Amino acid sequence: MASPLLVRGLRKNFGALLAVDGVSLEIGNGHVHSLIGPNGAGKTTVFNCISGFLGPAGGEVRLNGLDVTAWPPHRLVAAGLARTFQITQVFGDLTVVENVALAARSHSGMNLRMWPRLAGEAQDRAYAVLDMLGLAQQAQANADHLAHGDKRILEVAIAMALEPRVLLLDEPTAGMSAGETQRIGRLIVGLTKHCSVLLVEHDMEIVLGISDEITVMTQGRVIASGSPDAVSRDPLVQEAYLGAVEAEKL
Amino acid sequence: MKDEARARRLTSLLIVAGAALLALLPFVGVAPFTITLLTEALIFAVWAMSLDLMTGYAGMLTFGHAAGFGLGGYAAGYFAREVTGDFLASLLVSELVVLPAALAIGFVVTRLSGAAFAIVSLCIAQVLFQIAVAWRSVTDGMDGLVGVPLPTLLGVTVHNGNQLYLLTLLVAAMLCLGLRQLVASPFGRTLGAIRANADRAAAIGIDVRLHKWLVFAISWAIAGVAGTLMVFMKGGTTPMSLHWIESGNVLIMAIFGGLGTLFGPIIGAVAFVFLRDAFTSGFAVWQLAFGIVFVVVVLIFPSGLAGVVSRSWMLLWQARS
Amino acid sequence: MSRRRAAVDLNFLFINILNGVVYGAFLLLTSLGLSLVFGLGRVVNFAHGALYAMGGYALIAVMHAGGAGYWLALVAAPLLVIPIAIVIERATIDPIRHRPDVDTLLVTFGLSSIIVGAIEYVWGTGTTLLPAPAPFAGTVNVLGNQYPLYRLIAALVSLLVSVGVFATIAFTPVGLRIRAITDDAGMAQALGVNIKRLLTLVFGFAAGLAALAGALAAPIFAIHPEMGMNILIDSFLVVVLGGLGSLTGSAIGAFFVALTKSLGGGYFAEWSTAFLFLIVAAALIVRPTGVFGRGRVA
Repeated sequence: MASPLLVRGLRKNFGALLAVDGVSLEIGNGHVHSLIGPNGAGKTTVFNCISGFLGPAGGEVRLNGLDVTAWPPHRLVAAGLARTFQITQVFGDLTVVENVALAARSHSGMNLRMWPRLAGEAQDRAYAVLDMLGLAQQAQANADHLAHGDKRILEVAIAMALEPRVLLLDEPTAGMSAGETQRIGRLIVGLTKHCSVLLVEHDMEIVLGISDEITVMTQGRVIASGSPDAVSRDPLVQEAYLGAVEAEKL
Repeated sequence: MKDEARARRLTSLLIVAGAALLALLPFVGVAPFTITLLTEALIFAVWAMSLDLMTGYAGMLTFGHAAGFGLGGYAAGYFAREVTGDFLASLLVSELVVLPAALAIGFVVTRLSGAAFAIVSLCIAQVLFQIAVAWRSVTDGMDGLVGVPLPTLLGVTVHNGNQLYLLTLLVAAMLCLGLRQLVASPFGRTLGAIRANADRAAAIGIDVRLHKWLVFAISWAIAGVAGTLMVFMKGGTTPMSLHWIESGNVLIMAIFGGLGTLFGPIIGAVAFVFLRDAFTSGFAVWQLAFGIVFVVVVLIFPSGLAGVVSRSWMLLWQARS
Repeated sequence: MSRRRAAVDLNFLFINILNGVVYGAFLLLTSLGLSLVFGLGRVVNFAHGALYAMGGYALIAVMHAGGAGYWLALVAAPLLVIPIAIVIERATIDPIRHRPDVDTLLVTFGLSSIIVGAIEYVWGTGTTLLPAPAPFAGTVNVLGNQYPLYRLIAALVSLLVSVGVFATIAFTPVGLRIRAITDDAGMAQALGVNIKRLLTLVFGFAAGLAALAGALAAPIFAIHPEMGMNILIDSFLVVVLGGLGSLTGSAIGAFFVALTKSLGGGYFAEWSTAFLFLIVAAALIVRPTGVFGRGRVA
């Protein structure tokens, strides 16, 4: 059976700068796969290439065996791929449930419908997703007024309303407190009942705690890939992180 | 959801009631000249609403909205003069010209967004202006298209004055109702998502380009209807109907009234027509006043008049509770 | 017989090319200003055409009211327009800098109306003709054709000023700051560059360039309140083709647009602008992110 997400030899350059140089990874079914690396390693670029926000210069991306390389975002969503954003991008004017319902409605193919229709099913699905992620209490709150941690979870809720097979999470714990991080970590593990997850993260604790596999990138290339145990003991990885930490100290 | 449907029905009722009230005006002693101004205001209102759809709801600012308006006017006017002044036939011909043009031009232009889209829209309108000036054999150039006959509806001639007013009112009310339904539909809501954050919209599966293309075409089509009404009202048209000054006029109507509200532009159109009439003293003064109002509105009242009203209303409401 | 016709045709072509180069020189001045202001502050200045007109009117104001000669007025005109532009920038553009691009576009649109309306209020809506100034009023023989000397002089002045602008950007410290901000506003601010003041100054400077172009062009094309509108639209075409923020792009674009209009106008009359737009449309199809785009995927 084809793996949910397979990336082979992905390349991306910005002019003379080669940001991603032959990156490959494969996500197991129902797994949490983390992509980590120091700042500037190219993780976000890989992410944007997979999710259709950047056009790769080479390589291929396969979703359940289907070649989706360089597909635009909306087609990827239809094919079962959804993503969140590192900088929270919810529709601030709308309430929490309306944000999720918008995605649910989009998923049910109603985007082009030009006559009004009671959005019953979409609302129901939205509530179900919010329930699953523990946000049901705040359904009627204005999205902009949520606490930062809840906003990040709303991002995930919006993506889940699209019923993806593969979920791409872009630094979901960015700016979160320790408690909120634990909470979202548990939520992510819970999501694997429904989909496979690719995670870009900085928080090593979370990564080691919830990942089934980890891929480590530095300077546009993969230097290690495997189980959390194997990767954390890999001398190359330690050097890359240690080296990065030293550089930041300077 | 029930509330939504009820709110929608209420708004539709309001529109019908408003139209009925307006329809009574000629029969309660309102001066004929005011009726004429109102006719013009209603035509502009239709045009401004079509702009609001594209700019207020989909977030696509355009400086070239005179294009659909002028093109529709020329097509309808030429047909009415050469073939028949039947209103429905002229309207059909107008749309048969405007829609394909909008679809073709929109396909290219909706690749852009923001300031780029606004300016290229201006260029398109200017090109149409140049064509109207150059294509003398069809448009009579700068002299303008004249001799457009009175429209006939189902065989009955529609005279200037009350009859044309009522016809315009009918068309405007129908389009207003239609647009109200459109913006309340999933399509309308998707437009709002695109306006708020196009990348986010794409990430939830919305085909942004397709939606922009469709709203572009619909907006032009409705502008074409306004243009058709105008050419019948004036008995002709000139290339000035395609000029960027006209595009600026409709823009200020929509902005002043309030973008994204659908009713705001109606208020803006009425205000514009009556104010311009009051300013007949000089074109220079009008341009000056127009510019000042424009700048003030953008700087201080970004949500337009309707925004001021709705914000005051909200403040009052909060003060009460 | 046919040889003479060919010669006439060649002359016609040559004159059109010259006209294109002359117009291109003015278009370059205005496009550079537009490009600088956008590259620095992400402001699309719709009032740029009105500032061009203001230059023309400042010129005749100084000449008629002050009794000055053309050349003195030519220097004075931009110097009068620049402070007005700076005040405008501080009052109306600076307050809304953080708002989306389209808001400044709208404000400058309104400003354009105010400026043109004010000009019409003071000078009326008529056209004023200005004779070419004294030493260069005649024609000169260029490759067998009589061509107005002043046009060549004015074009030369424009080109020299443009070269000066390029040199300033490329070689001076302030030019370096401008380039830094154009590339990355955030980083420039981190490096301690006082952006606000620089933006205001550059806006004023760009206005000065437009006013100079208007004053230089006044004896060639007539002076009337709407004189800036056509060159504004052409400037927009130039920067769409050449890239807002790219000075070299503006240079190439300016002459391309000017020559196309001139040659097209000579052979296709009023259809030439339509043709120009088709080219822009074709360019956009090839570069779909739009030249205005900041690397965003459409």
